[in-house]
Amino acid sequence: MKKLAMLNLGLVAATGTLLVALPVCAHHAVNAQFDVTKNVLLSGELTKVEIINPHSYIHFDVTGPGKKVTSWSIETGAPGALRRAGLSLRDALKVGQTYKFVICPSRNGTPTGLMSGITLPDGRSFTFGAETNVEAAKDLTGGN
Amino acid sequence: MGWLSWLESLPLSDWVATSDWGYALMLAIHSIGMAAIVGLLLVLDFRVLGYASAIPISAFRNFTPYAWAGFFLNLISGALLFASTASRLVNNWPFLAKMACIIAAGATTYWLWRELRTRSPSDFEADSHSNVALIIASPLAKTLAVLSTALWLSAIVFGRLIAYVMDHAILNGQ
Repeated sequence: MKKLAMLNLGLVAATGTLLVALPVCAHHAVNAQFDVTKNVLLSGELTKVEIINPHSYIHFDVTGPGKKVTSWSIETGAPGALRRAGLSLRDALKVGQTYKFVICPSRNGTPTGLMSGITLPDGRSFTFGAETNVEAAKDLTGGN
Repeated sequence: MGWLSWLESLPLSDWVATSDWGYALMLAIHSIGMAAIVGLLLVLDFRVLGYASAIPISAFRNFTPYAWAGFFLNLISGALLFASTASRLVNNWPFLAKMACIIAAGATTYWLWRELRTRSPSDFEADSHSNVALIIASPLAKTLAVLSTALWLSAIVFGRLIAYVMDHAILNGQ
């Protein structure tokens, strides 16, 4: 009985550790993947919008020097959160149009990033994230 | 892929996916249902393993309707969450692992209930109110309780991982 109680206690302890560890790792995921101290301005043609939870994705073709086209995949917030911030992905983003966007680039060098700002063809600008990212995005897009 | 896209295009799925609070509401309901099912079944498992032995195991039967209520809450909220992201989820390994764990956990719990109901009279003792109560669970019941705990908790952990693996897949062009 005593041995069993010890075994059970071990099970509880192991489970507890696992459940505490998970949110911690979730909390650091964004910072681990993207360098949130950097903000980069890009301009590209929208190729695809993925309106999914808990993160939406927006894909752009960016034409660089020598007309080399790079396809960027940009992570942004949940569709509902963006809507509450005034940006409806479905209404505001049209495939084929050109957008200016500010991202925190990935740490591994792939053409991916976390969106900190976007400027629509009609001139409306939206900024997201921590205060420093919002300020940087406003500076880069010359937005309000 | 046809029927998955169709499922995503239904007005209710779209409401969950894109409205201001639809997704958050479904997640909240899903968490509450999860607390009811897994919470109650973990308490049963721990009692079978010997904790809180003052409580007769047969008393846990009174909680069955509440565990079922949690299950149906999660069946409905889970179906709607699935419908909002169906084509991505069918290729998401933590989602598939979670579904497998829930099926296995449900079967284990059913088996445990059956084992607890079919014990021989020698396993029963009269409590202070002269009601008959199952005091000591069989080794099979204890094994099933450990398995049930492991499976239900794994289902929760895999559920947590779904979004992170999905993000990783999209960012890697899959």
